[in-house]
Amino acid sequence: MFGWQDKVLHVNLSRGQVSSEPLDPKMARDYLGGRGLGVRWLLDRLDPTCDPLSPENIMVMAAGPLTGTRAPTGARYMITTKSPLTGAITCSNSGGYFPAALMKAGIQAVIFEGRAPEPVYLWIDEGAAELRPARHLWGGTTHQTIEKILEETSPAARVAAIGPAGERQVLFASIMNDRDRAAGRSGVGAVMGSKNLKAVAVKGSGQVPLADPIGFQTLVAEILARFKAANKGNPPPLRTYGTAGSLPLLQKYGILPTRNFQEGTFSGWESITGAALTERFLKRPKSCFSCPIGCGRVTEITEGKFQGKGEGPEYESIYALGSDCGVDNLAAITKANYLCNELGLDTMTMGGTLACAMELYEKGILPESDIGRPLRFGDAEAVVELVRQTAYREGFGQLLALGSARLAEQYGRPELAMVSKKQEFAGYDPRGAQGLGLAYATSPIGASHMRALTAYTELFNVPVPTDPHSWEDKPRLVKDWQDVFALIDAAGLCILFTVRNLVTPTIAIQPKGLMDLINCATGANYEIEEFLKVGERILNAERLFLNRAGIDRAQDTLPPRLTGESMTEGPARGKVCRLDDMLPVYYQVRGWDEQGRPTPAKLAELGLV
Amino acid sequence: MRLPVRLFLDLKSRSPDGSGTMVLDLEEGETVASALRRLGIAPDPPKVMLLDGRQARLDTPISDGQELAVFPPLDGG
Repeated sequence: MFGWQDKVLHVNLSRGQVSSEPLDPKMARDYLGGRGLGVRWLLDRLDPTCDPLSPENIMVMAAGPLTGTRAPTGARYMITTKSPLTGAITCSNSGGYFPAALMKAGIQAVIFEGRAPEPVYLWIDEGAAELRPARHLWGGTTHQTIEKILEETSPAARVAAIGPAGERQVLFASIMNDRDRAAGRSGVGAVMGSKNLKAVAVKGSGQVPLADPIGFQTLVAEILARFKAANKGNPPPLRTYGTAGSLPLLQKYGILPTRNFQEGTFSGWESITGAALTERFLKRPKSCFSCPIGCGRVTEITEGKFQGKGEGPEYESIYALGSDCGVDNLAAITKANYLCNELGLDTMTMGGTLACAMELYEKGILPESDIGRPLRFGDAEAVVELVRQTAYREGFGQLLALGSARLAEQYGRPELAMVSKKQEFAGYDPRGAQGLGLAYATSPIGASHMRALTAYTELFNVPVPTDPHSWEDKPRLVKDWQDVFALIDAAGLCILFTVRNLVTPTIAIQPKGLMDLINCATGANYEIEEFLKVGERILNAERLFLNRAGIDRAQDTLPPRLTGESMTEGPARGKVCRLDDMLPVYYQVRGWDEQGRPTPAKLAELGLV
Repeated sequence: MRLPVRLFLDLKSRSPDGSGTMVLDLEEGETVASALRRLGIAPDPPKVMLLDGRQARLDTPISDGQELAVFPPLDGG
């Protein structure tokens, strides 16, 4: 095979066995890679009603056919499993250098099942794999674990690991690779911890075989030339300011989530922008494998009580640990972000859960005696301290470790959790960006901006602008973006590059540039109709998994704050998210029934029966 | 009419004191395009422009009392 590596590792942790199986070429063509392969294997091999933290759950690490190639941003992989946070499927994405190493070792995917009787890590050396004891690594931070494994294996190895939060099965524990790149969402780190799997290390120095190497190289050169020309030879804003460069725009739109989504503008916004981060703490930008952008932030805080160094924060972490908690102290936000990376926590759910706790406290619902300290919005020190307590499940951290849905439920106010399917939102209030509301509610993994970032059209005018306040046009837009995002994820590329550079700039969103790269790499010769169908198939396969897990329309919801309480100030004043109007139309556009279940005809069309 | 303008990121340097905050004197009926011309900001690569927090296009007319915010191309995440 070209593009795809034909080796899939199968790791039975209960038996301590590692075997391999060939990648089925038809499955590769129909599901492309990453997220697509993950959902297909979950449908085939997992009971969707299983306990996500039991040995029965399986976890798939899968690259795409462009991962490890010179395709711009060909750096990404996907971890697919059943989420302990949401009870739904999840597929959490990360870049860095680990995913490319996996492909260069000749491995498309690794499927983990069972539970190791003792802590272990998987060592893959140019395709030869073995399980090694990890008792001596247990308890270590992600950084400590990665350093020790590099000493034990090879300095050229790349490592993905969990920290103390994953070991303790915090429901939103992350898997960190290359120190500070996060597969953050939905508790994939808790699943890894439940399997007694501390880390995966891989050394790969081979090449991904390409069907048309010269054509591929030519295409990549053209894409990069266009990218440079579009930026007029200057570094793109993402490199200079990071993803938080867009924070002032969200403030100006009036949709910067503030104080647990009670407001959409934040008085302290100028202290927490990407420009402020660049000016105060940035040492240098950092790129993932084969990335021409470099939105990563290598940062250091050299003075004050929040001293430290590491990477980040990116926009979502700044909104979640910052404005959503009413915190305008950028040093504290950055320190909390460092701790999340080292201890292995999702910054977004961490911040959202703290914001929920702050509102519960300020409303007199959550007593100070339960927390062990006051917890008002804006308390920067509390944010930093409670991140640590959460990772170790100490004190009030026991409750925070469950995420905001379960926390708010515990205190009898479930409506104060800003979640969809028990997962916290991204940093865009959907009352002022209607499409994002529908995207949150219908994302298969629970609230996420990375299943359909309609912010590109609604807020950034890419590839074409749409009115963020209109709702009539959003069901189609969300459906189209969801299918294209599934393709980008499955291909192994980064959303941030691909949306702007490899998607046709028309309202009929078509990832033609992406398809051309895939065709050169794999020789699959997709036509656009078949290619788009792959994205639609992945989305529907994920929905099928959700339906079988008991999730349908009843869970495609937003909190009443967003659908019933108007924004009180700013440009989105008077707006609510019109989810109830959009959802039935979205189901029709999708070919799903009124309960949000793909019809037999749709499943047959996509080859899912 | 007087138009308060806020320029962001690399565009801040287009304001006289580099702060990104300034006020333009415009004639009645002028558009976003003419405001950008006065600021010396090229329309390409396309900017993200907001008038009072709502998307504006190059041909959007400016009314008295509005505020213009201009951003270079942005991405999310």
